[in-house]
Amino acid sequence: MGKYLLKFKKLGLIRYTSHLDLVRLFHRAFKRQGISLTYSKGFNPHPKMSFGQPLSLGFESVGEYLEFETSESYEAKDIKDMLNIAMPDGIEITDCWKIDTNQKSISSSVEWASYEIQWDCEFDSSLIEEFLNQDKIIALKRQKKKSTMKEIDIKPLIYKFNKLDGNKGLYAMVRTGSSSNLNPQLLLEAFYQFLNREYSKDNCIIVRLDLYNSRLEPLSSQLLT
Amino acid sequence: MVLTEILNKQLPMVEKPGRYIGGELNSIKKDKQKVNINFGFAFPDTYEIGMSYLGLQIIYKVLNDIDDVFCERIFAPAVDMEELMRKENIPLFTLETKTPANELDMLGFTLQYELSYTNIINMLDLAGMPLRSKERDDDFPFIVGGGPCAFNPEPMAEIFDFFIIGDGEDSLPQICDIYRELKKKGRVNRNDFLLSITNIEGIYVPEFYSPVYRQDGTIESVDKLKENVPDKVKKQIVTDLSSASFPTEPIVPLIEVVHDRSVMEIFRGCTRGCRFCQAGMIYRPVRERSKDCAIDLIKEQLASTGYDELSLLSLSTSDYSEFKPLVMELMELGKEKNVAVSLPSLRLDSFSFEVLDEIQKYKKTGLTFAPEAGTQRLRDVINKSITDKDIYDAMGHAISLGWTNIKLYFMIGLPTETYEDLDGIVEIAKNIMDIYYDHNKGRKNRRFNITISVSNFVPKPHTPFQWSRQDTADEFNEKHSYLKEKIKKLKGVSLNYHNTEPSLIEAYLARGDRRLGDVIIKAWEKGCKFDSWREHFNFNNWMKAFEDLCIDPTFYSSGEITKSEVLPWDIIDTGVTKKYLLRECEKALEGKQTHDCRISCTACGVNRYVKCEREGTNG
Repeated sequence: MGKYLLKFKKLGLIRYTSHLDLVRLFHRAFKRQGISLTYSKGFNPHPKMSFGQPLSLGFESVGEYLEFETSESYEAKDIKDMLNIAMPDGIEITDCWKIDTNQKSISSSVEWASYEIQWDCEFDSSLIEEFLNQDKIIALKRQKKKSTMKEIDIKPLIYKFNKLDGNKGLYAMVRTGSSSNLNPQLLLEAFYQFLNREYSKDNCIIVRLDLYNSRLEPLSSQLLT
Repeated sequence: MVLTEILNKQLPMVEKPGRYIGGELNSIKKDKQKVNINFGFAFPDTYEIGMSYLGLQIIYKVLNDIDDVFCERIFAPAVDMEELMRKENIPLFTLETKTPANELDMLGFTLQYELSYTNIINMLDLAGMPLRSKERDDDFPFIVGGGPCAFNPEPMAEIFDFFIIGDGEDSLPQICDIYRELKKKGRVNRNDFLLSITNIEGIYVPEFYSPVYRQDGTIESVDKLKENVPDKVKKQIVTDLSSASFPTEPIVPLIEVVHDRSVMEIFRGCTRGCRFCQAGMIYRPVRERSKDCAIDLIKEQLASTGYDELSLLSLSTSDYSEFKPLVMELMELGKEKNVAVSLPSLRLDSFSFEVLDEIQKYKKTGLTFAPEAGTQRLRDVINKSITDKDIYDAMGHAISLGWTNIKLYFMIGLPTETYEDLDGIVEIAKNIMDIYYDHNKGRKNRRFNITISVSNFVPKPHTPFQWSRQDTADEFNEKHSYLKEKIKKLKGVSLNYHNTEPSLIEAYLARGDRRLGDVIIKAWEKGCKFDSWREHFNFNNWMKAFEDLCIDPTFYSSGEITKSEVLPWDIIDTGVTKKYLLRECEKALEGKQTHDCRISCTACGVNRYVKCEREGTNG
């Protein structure tokens, strides 16, 4: 019996696989390595395994989290090593922690996410300030299960948005989670529009750096103490 | 490397970019500079379809098990990706190392269905290669074809450099040996290589043969242009499946593919002798993998992949000689390892029901059954040995066990078919409904439904029906309407049928001769590709291609072509004699069945070349 939290990277071409693909991938990796997950009860048992926050198709990440329960007890380090053998190109498990079985699920504590946006940006930093200083930052969001677009104010959803040193791109820390969520692509669309440019998905590579709780602490920091 | 960077940037612009990335668990990477032979295995359809094909995994292993050979995979890009590739000048590339296809030594296409031919042309074009064999010099890779459609290689004869007929497990390494030898001596000369490989069993090099046509389009004779090439190309046969190479570490796709599961081929071939079935003739004789071997390989495969579903592969699962013990062991294994077992193409006897009931305990998915024809008379003609009693007993059994979705497969346009046979299809559906009402004490339940799935008969080479005509478009359409009208009146029964036009093209290509190469290229020039995809198929363009080249397509479907003694595919020797096929054809017209050759040998001729291990074992 045990509950564990994994931190992993998703880099390179594998970023073109979806969240569901990743669910399947991990499920198979556990099976392949003989790590026995706890299954839910009922007619359709499924393994108790959940991700911190789904990553959009096309994004890279160095800070993904996966939480799962096993029916046997393992050393956290063994799990990390075993899983790394079963991973395809581009996925690497960086950490594995054994956590308290009664701890609240990580997905419910995720509130913020940080991103690095790799983009050759040629504009003055003051433009970002101007962008952020607007009363409202309006973005067009596609409505769920509808084809219509809705204008929303994303300003309260942005915690940080700044240029990286050496024109390497941008840094953003934005709301994420089930109650309120800002996809950095939406932020970029709004910013591009502010710059009078048109945003296209192939303009930049977005890398998620980490996930944070409501106190803006990285999810893993709670475990390290 | 440059190509990887372009892809990395451009892939967000296409649908399902995961199709083009490679890097899956168990995929193989070798240093392409250090190997002697770079081989590309090309599947002329999208990734999801190609990755569901076991043959790809077998060939991938066979070739990559050879140290100095590197086999990579190539799939047809979907239409949006192709557009992007043409715009950005991205050539057709391998998934493993993103190498342009025209830099390989050999490019092998699998010919699984005729309607993929235009995709092959499109892929050669995307690779920047001349389409016809005679237009390619030493600088281009050899283009090789294999798979079931290679048993009539003629329509693609001018495009491919050579074909591998029959099982590829042994012939591919033999081809590599010859290539390596020639490479050691310096540059591989096209002609030297092609001439040398004709010594290997199952290799057909079309440019060494030239058909002579009569005025009416039939073949007078076939001239051999080189002295030492075989008169007929005998298919290569792997005799012992248990010792043959099998993918114990198959590539596990990252994205969802059509069949995303562990697969075990339990035997090759079939003894039943259905007269329409090409697979049943060309894959003879039956060669089984032993039960213990199968179980061991399954365990290895599950351990290396982490799959939670397992399926068996063969032409008729229930015919496996150790079927019961195998299934019992698999069920145990499935329980122990939390793996769902699925058993396709079962004969619906009481044991099968026991097993299916166990497998699908809570969620009974559909139950499929293939009577193929609506009356006993027509089933006798096609040698499908199922009786009305078999059908109704099985359906009664299924209903009492709680199945609510029944799917029945039929073929229309079969030789000697009349409207009475179509009425038979309707009758079967009606009777099954009645069985259900009886069982349910007359109450109607909307949950119970029957789907009648109708396909159109396409006469195939190397079958007893290779001489038959195919129904015309009008005949097919009338039959579809007739069935639609009748079945509309039955509550709870639905009908789906294949479109007529693709079946016509399939028939033209299946029995085509060498002159069709130009037609296929012309059709592609007019925009034909992904012909097996309803949304891409364009019948008019195909018809215009035939018209442009002044070839009457109905020549190939009307039975005219087969009035000649020499058929375009006669160059291929499957082991089954023409005498046997003719006898079967005559018996069909007399409505006489031929028994399963597990009872006793029916003299098809294949045992001249290889021992039939199952012959007479049920006698």
